[in-house]
Amino acid sequence: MSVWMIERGNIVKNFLTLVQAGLWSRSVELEGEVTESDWREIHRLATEQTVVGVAYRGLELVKNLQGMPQDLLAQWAAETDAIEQRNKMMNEALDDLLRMFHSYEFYPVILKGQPIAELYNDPYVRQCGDIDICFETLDEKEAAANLLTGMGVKLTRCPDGSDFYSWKGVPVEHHRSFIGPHNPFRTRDIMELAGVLGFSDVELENEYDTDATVPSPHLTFLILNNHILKHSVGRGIGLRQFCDLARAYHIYYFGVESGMVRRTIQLAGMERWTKVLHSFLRNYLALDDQYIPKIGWDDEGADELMDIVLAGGNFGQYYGSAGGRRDGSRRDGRGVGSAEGGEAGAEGQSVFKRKTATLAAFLRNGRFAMRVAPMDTLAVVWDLLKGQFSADRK
Amino acid sequence: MRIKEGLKLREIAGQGMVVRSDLKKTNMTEVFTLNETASFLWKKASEGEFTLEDVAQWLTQEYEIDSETAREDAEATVSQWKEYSLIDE
Repeated sequence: MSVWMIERGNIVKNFLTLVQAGLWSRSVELEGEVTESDWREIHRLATEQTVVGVAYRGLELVKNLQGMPQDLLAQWAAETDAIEQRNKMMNEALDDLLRMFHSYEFYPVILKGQPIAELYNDPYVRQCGDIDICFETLDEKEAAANLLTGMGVKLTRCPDGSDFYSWKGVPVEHHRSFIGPHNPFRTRDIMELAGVLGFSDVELENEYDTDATVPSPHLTFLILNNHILKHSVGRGIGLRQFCDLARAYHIYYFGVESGMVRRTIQLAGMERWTKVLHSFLRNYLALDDQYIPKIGWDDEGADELMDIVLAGGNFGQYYGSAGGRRDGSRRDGRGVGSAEGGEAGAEGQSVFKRKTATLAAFLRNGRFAMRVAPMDTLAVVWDLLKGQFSADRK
Repeated sequence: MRIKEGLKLREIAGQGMVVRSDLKKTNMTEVFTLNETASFLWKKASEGEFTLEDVAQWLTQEYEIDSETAREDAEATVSQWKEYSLIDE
């Protein structure tokens, strides 16, 4: 069991129960007597882990909300409403952006984000961050950037080579690749996999019936897995990304060839890490193991990973010198509706503080990272170091 | 009359809540708590256009009260919804 769960008793357990209820739409009972301060702590966890809306859906399925303060319940409902409104705004921005790109014959791939939200029972309660996009080639990415700057869009090039801008009030990020930093010895295998597993043209099930190109289910598993890994061995990651993968497995797994899923993980060199990840999804998010590719388990690693998740929250924003404090108080007054963070987040921090926080995170999580994914960890570190010395900025 | 667009009833812990936010303009949110009867009426009203007489009839049918009492309760409820700008006339 994770150290945090041992130390904090039923609070963390009940928080996870709520998240599970919201993820799988099933009625639950909470453990023990839940006091007013317990509820406030549970809400704080939901905020830090960027699962406020999912946990609210869980609240709706709890048989007895004894001890829940009325003001907190109202606040939680208001925050969930804000999340839903923001998702509608995201859908509109995404549709508008893609129509624009398509009119200039650009066909970007939408990574994670709104297509993943559609895998949830209620897509509108998933806290959205930014719109993540990649293009078939770097030349196309560059051309898209030129198109946008020609239209007067203010574009920023990040240290990792991605381009960042705002479209209709929504942050958008153009990535260099559909997959983040990874074991460099597996790059060719992963690119060949992408060619085989491919991408699909779909119509998103939102208000706009948006035409989008998205990764295939196999590739989606790989992308989400790699994304979690990249941040787990780096600055930190919250529960939301694990929920995304749990929902993806739940929806897609029986529709794909399971041997191919295992082979994909093996070819990407992520087997050892994925055992940890799968144990986490089963033990802490109650994903039924019939939906999980059979490559083995690492329960101890999952406990360690849960400690990383609970300590740091969303992209490690809530840990120690990264801005949060161990007692969990918020670094800033950022609203609950958005889940911005990661590479392009951490607004309000000086460059020095951000870099120091990143270094602290690597040192803190280093032992775990090198045990479960040494080559990927080194790739993440290298990618970050490269970015520090990159002169390629717009 | 009609319930204003976007005002969804959320039922939780035996009570109903309606959240009204205006994030684009003022970044403010109001939360209205509804008791069981108000929640029932809100759900019925959310189905489309309605009149005061409709509200009274819903009360009569659901709670087996006389028409005069139903009318008074309906007027009180609708008056409150108007006061808080929750409906369009």
